[in-house]
Amino acid sequence: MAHDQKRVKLEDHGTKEEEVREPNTITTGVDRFSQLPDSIICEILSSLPTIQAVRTSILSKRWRRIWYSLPFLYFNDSVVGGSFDLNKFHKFVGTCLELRKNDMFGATDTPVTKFELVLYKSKSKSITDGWLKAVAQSNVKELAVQTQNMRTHYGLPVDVLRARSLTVLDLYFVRLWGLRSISLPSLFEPLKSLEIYCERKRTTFRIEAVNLEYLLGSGYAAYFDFGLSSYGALTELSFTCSRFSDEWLEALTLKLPVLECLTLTDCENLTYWKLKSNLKKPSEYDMDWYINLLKFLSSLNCSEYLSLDVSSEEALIFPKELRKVYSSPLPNLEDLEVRTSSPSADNSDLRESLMWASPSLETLSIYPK
Amino acid sequence: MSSSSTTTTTTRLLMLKASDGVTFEVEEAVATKLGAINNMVEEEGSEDLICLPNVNGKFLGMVLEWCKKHANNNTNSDKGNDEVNKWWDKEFVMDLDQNTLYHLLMAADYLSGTELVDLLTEKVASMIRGKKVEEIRETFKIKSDFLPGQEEEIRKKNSWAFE
Repeated sequence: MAHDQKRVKLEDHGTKEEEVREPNTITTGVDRFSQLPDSIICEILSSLPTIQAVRTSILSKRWRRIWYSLPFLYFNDSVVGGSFDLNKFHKFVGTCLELRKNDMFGATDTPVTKFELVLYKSKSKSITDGWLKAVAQSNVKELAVQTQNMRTHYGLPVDVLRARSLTVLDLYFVRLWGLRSISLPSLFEPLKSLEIYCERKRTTFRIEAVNLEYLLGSGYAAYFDFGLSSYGALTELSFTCSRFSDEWLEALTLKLPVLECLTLTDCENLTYWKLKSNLKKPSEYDMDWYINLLKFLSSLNCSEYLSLDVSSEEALIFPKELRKVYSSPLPNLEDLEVRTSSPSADNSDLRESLMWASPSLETLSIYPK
Repeated sequence: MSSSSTTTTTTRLLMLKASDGVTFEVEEAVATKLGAINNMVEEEGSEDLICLPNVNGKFLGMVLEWCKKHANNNTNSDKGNDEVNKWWDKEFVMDLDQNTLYHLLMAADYLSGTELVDLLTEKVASMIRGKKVEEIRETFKIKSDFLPGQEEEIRKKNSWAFE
């Protein structure tokens, strides 16, 4: 086998080309596209606006009914083609929904699982409400609604949020009406990922999402009532351009026991915050501990002041061999405070380690807890 | 594991045999980017020669080339690598003729290379996007097999879609 003439190593680009003959050298004029299995064609058409998929139905007999199998309906009133006619767009969406009604209820072999609506021009609330209510009553799992800008905000009817089958909800520039402190367990319980933009201070919106693992908030996120007790599963939390106070963030992070990743971008009101890490104290402080700690501290390098609480001084005494290999994790830190449960009389090792970790330090204070 | 483990970890090699008898020797981590091969490795364990009667050597080679690129780049979870992968993917699909695209899609689908299927279906979608029916027919050499007048009838009946 080792001497098999046709054997080609992946690295051998040279031999591959010469030894393998193309199976079908006559390619021009062959309609390969129509030969693809329905499943692949559906995947191709699913990334296009539904109107384009529907129009493939007159390509040939092969294409006549393929769009009826698409699991994803996507309507965008700015890619209709030709001059935009609101009535025609409304008629198109309405007819599609009617034709795929049974599929949306999952009553057929070709269920519709996702519905996306992008409205830049259409502003008829009653018509949009009608479509979305139909979707909410069906078995569609994912719903995405986007309107153009803040001025033309579309107000999502509360019925839609009570939909039982939805697991993913993407809303852009969509206003949630009358949702002051309403909890919506039926919708949010299965939800794993949520992105929210809060435009105004007035909105107080409470959601119960016990299985949420990822949350991205932007805008006036602090006015969002996160129903703090219900976020036990959240591992990733991200805020961007958000306005909230130091205390608010601290209170929030304290209630998130398994949080692994917190990302803050352009949160300008934030000046000070406290992070409590539930890193378990290892049976002994080994290299892994110190390397993890180094990585963690490096991510805090933007701070000028830092306070660290540890149960043993040893946790902060970086091994000498490590200091030779790694660079200081906190080169910009000026003010460091350390609290330990077991202060030793001679803490010169600790001091030396901390001076290595933060070479620009101006004040270093070590207190007993 | 002891702390003195060697840095050169021995990677297992798999032999993949295409429909035309061409064999490829590939690292396990590369081949298992394909769901079908991953399943075979997990189920059959020590089997080292995997026969793939539905894939021709030329296209299997291309699929594996893609896998290799993505397996290598995945070892570093750097943001920069995402960009490199994207750029590489773009090059990979840029000049594919329709015949190759078809065979690659069939191979990737058969081998459950989900990410590669996504890349290739998006490529085909980009060839359709924004085009009129006549232009799609022209692009893909699709011949209308409707009876005379039938197409016009369908258009009329479904005027909601074609207006």
